Order: sequence, then C-alpha cells, then structure tokens
Amino acid sequence: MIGLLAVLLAGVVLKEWAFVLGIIPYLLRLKDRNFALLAFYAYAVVLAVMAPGVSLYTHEGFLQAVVLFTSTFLLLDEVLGGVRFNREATIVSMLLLASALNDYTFMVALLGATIYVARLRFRETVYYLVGWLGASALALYLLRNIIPDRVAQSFLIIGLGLVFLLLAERKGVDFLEVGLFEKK
Amino acid sequence: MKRAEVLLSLAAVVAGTAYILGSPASALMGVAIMAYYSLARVTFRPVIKVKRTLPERGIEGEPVESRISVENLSPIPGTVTVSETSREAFARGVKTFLKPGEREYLEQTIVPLAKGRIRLKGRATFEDELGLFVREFPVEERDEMTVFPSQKSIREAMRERHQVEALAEAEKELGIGAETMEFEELREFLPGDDITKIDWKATSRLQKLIVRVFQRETMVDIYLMVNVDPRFHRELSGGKTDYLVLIIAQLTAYFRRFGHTIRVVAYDDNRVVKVIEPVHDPLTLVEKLGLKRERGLPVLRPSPISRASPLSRLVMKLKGGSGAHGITKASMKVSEGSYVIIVDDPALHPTELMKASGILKRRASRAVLLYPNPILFSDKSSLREDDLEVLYRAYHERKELVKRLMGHVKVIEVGPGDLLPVVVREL
Repeated sequence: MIGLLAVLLAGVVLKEWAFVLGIIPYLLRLKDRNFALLAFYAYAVVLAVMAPGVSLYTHEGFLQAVVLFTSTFLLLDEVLGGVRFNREATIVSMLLLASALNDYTFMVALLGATIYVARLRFRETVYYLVGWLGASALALYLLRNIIPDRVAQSFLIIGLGLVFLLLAERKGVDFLEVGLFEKK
Repeated sequence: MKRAEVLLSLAAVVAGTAYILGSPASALMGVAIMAYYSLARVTFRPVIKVKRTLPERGIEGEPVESRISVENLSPIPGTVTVSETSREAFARGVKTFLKPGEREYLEQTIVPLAKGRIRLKGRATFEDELGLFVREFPVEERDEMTVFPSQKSIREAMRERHQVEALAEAEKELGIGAETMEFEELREFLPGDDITKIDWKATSRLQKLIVRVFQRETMVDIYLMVNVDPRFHRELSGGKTDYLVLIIAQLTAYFRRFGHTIRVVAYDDNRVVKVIEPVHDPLTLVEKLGLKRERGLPVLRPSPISRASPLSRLVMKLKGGSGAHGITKASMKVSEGSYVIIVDDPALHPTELMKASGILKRRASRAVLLYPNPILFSDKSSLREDDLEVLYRAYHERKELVKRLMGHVKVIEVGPGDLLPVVVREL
C-alpha cells in the first residue's frame, strides 16, 4: 500500500505519467510474485529511460533523485515481500499523502517511509542504508564543485551503490530457484 | 528463474541506462534495487532445527505418519520445507511459514517403496520471506526403518515364484549331454523332465505320466562336491539335513539313470574328507557320506566377501595342513572337463566358493551350486515377530550375496518345497 501510494504521488509531484505503470506490478503481486517482479522489471526500465537527465545540484534534479530512489525501494518491497494492509501502513500512507503538498515535506516523508519500511523488513541492517545515505549525501556535497557533469554524478552514484553489493558479497548464499508459475 | 538474479540484472540495466543517458536520478533508482538486494542478503542468517520422528516399522506401499518438529531460531521469518530425498520412500514435502523463534509441529505421510531396512534422508530448506535466498539444513532423525512386505506383494511373489526344480535347473545349466533323435526308452516322468517329451499314449495306458527318453551324445563324469562340515548341517528344527540326504540320493539316481559316472567329493572347512568313486547306489552313497543333523543355531547372516585373515589361514593350516579351504582342495580333485554340482551354503564361505569356482573354470569344468537356504527350512510355526525381522534381514543379505556370486557360479536356491513327493516315493 505504501509503495503504490509513493509511486502514484511521485508521478503527480514530478508530473510524469510513467509512474502510473507502477500499478501493474502492484496488482500482479496480489496474484503472483514472479509476474509482479517481471512487471516491476519493465516498469523500472521504462522509468529509467523516461527520467530526464537533470543535475543533482538543482532543485528539480534533487527532488527527482530522492523520489525515484525511495519510490523504487518501497514498490520493490511490496513486489517481493507482499502488500501490507494494516494500521501502521495506513498511517504512513496518510502521512505521505499529507506531505505531498510541499516538495520538501514530501521528500522527508518519503525518506522516512523508506527507512521505516526497511527497518520493519531488515531490522538492524537498516543502519547500513542510513549510513550509506548519509555518506553519499556528504560525498556529493563535498564534490559539488568537482562533478557538475550529470554523467559524472551518475557514475559516482553507481560507484557508491556498488558498496552495497560488496557488503552483501561477504555472505555466501544460495539463490532460490523457482518456476515461473509459482506453486502455492 | 532465480529472483535474486533478476534483481541484479535489473540493477545493472538501470545503472547502465542512467550512465548512458547521464541521469543521476535513474542511477539512484538502480542503487535502490542494489540496496534492497544487499540488505536482504545481509539479513539472511537462517538457523532452524528440524526433528522428524519416524515409526520404527512400516509396510511396503502403506502410508505411515511421521511427526516433524520445526523451530526457527533465526531473527528472520521464512518458509521451511521438509522433503524426503531417499528413493526408497515417497513423501510429499511439507511446508510452513515460521516467524522468528516460532515452533511448529507438522505431520508428514511417508509411503515406503522398498522392503527390508530402508534408509530415509530428510531435507529441510529455509526460504526467506522475499523469496530470494535459500539454505539447506539437516533433519535430525533415526534414519532407518524396517519395512515389511505387504500382503499384496507377498501374494504376487508367491504367484510369480516358479517351482524350483533343482534337477532340471542343474541339468540345464550344466548342459549335460545334448539329446539325440535316437529313442532309448520310456520311463516315468521325473521332476525336471521336459513336458513336451511326455508320451500321452503310454500315459493313458499306464495311468502314470510317462516320458520318452532319447540317447545322449556324451556321458561325461559328474562330480558332486558335498560340504559335510558340521556348521553346514547345524539346524534347530530339523529337516534340512534330511532334505540334503534326499537331494543327494535323488541327484545320484537321476544321473545314474542316464548312465553318467558319478563321483563324490566330500569336504569340510579344512580338508577333503573323502572321495567316493564311482557311485553306483544312492543309498550306499548316503550311508558313506554319513550326513547327520547338528544341533545348534544355523548361520543365517552371510560372511563378508574378503580375503582370509592371516590368523584364520594359520588355523586352517594347523587343522588341514595348508592354508587353503576345504572347498578349494575339493575343487582340485575334479578332473578336467567335468560337470560339477556343489552342495553347499554360500553364506558360510563366499570368498572360498568364488575361488573354487575359478579353479573349476580354469579346469574347463562347468559348475552349479545347489544351495539349501537355511531360512527356508526354519520352523515357521514357532516364529515370533522379532525372529521374523531377523530372518527377513538375513534372507535379504543372502539374496544380495547370491546376486554377487551369480557372476562366478550359477546358484540354485532350494527349499523344502522343492522336493516333490513323487520323487521321494521313487527313491
């Protein structure tokens, strides 16, 4: 519920119709996780292509970056973990809705919702996310005069993002293999 | 599909697109996917305890219930699936979702597909809530179960079991003297005779089954190698030694009837006890062999196929003058190109039996082993349930041994039912 609302509000705030496609994986998730994931794949690719290239150091670019990051995270959580309908989810959704009147409150509310959802799902591991967000924001702030170019900014963000993968690689795991049509 | 791989590839595609288009916002989108995957992976620390309680006994093809206790000791929720990996039993996997610290009891229906002592091997897997990762865990259980044959399979086995006709099988296996087209005589039907040779006219005239006998091409020497060791004649209820006496007499009479020269080599564990040649009268032979019943528990479980230890070789040397077993020495007494019928229990000395059959093969002799299975001679009226299990296991092991021996010598297993009253009366 939070993910869907975040995506729809993001579309309204950024005036981008492609966010509406987020409804498809959400609805599919009610029936099948695999098809929902594949629909999410398509949604993410479309959104990545449609998102206009704007520098992070502008108001529009910053808003776009925060909204895309958080709404993707929240929708993916619902696609994989299932749709939550409970009192807490309703309160968070209401707060998101109320915050959408102003860009800054909306960004704060989205970040808060993301950390809240991640805390519920990943417990104390969420501090990695908080730490990364803080470290990345600091790095981007310190480098504001060195990387005015959008490509360089993208490169830096991807590089910082790879830290997550390096962190995760420390743990050996087996990937779960399932058939496309999941057995209940 | 592997969902984790889908996520990783999506992150790569989005990040690549962001870099090409110069879109930092899209790059952050890719990072969001990477972050989600990574957090899920770091959080995945499953610890579960699965214990399955199996019934000690079951019946082939009939479902038995097992009880499974599953406890999630990890800080993450997930789905635990318990399945059976052994081919000797079928069990549908059971699944349950467990929150951290939760314990649940499940029932699993297991259908044993094999008989005897079957080994079951359960496997438990833990999948995380997001359906990305999996880990296997061992299932604590008593992994063996005794499975008795079902009534249906016993009935089927009895239907399929053909009457072992020792003489016919021995003769067929040895290929003793092929028959010619020249008529020799008419005689009464004996077990093992070809039913196509029945002379129906003579049968209706004499009101007895009469067969036509044709002349044989060769009259080769037949050797009977008989184990006279007391261990072989040990029995509790009686019957096996009497049966052996009869079958030896029967074999002698049968082959004498065709004019074969019969020689008998009696041996025990250490030496050749006596050589009787040529044998004219079955009753005299039986008397000379002096086979008698030994009181005691017969050897049920077979000895392993392995080389004799230095100590046992030393004992044999002291008792018999050399380190070779009696059966090995007896096989040396057989002339080249003969037909040999060994009357012995392969479970007593399988390795030596294989050695002896090798010697006989090298001497261009053909051999069969007539094997009176002591389990078939046990007294069924006094059997208890526990005895039944012991006998069944021993029978199973003996079957496995016979399978291995078949590559060396043809084994004909016989039981008390394989001696027909008609033959006994004839003797």
